[in-house]
Amino acid sequence: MAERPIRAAVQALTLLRAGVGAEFEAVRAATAGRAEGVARAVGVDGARPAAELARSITAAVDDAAGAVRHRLDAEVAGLLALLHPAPRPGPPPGLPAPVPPFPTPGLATEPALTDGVRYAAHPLTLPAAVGTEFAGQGAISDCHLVAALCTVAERAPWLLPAVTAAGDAVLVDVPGRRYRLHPTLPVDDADGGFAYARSPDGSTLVPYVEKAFAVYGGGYPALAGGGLPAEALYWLTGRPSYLLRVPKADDDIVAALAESGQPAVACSRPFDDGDDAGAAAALRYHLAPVAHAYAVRGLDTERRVLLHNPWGRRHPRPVPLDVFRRLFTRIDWCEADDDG
Amino acid sequence: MTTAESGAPAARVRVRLGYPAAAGAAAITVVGVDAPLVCLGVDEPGGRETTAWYAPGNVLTAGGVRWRVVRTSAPPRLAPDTPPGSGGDHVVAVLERLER
Repeated sequence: MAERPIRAAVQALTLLRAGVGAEFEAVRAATAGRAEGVARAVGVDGARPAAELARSITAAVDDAAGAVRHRLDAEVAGLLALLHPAPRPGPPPGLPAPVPPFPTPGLATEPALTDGVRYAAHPLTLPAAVGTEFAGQGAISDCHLVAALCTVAERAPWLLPAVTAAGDAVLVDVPGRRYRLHPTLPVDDADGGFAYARSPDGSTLVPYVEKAFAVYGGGYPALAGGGLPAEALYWLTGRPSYLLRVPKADDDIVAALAESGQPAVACSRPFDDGDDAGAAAALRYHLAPVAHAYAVRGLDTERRVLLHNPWGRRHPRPVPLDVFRRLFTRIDWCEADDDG
Repeated sequence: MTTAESGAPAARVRVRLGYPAAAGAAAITVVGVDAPLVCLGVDEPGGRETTAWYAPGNVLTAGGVRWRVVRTSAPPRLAPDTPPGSGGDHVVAVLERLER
């Protein structure tokens, strides 16, 4: 399968998705404004009923936007599946089954686990759609990796690692390195569910990428100590990766990076005792009170930064740029384009 | 498992700074800390979210089960530019199941 045209198609669809998203945002804003105007013109009293009417009308726009995004995400997932072919059950047509099955040489040692977690056999399965939501953090503090996966999935899915099943191994290919993994994943000892990163649809591509990263990083307990998203972005994509010191940057630079379409991860600072102002601001904008990594999604119409929490829940409220520069320490990002 | 002691269903849940803890079908996250008070977010499977402050001895409901806050702990002091995820394993609150 020729990879380059497929990756180019994925890139084109991703850019189309971003363009369509911007168009829908504009339509939404215009619709809301006109709906409120119409409500006032026909004599609906009060700002609240007008806003309610506008909300019900813009919900239709949101539904349409969601349907288009879902369709595009499914197309991208279908194309990516061509790059990550699942094995056919049984031998290839025309070939006898190898008897006995030959072990794949050089399987990586199973990375160490945290307490209460064991390995269980899980075949490779691919996600139904690829986007910001396709990776969620589990019970380990590796937000730097999961946020990097989320932003690459949204902004440059053609750069995601190729993951394939081959005989008795799962292969994770990142630029410059192949990880040959046992077809097992960490599960909770008590309930058998995935212990660490997972996808909402239960597919296993994301946990296998995390497992390869655990091999690279020296085991899951080592990931639990946190890390730098720039390293995760570089490991995932092989593209030049950088960091922007947010407190020293001005609003326009932060805004330009947020809107650039390059995969980007924002890092918040910890909000601990003695930092009442920071803690209050973190509460107001729904930031975790710990140094945490978020996938950057762009700016809204009021130039507030939109962020995605790799927990898959409790996403921050849009953060104004001046507040963002006080609450965040850095944005790690990588180049998504061939020509930079 | 890092968030719940062994045995199903968990009799105790350790809520950590850096990631959600499973409490039955619900997820509990740390939203804020002002020790000994902790602000916990409870996300139920149906999408219902609650956020409230708790002190040791208070009771909350998550995943259809009532939990008592046994103890709380202030997060460690970290440098402002500490890498994300650092300190995420710190246990901020320990919850004990009161009933099924």
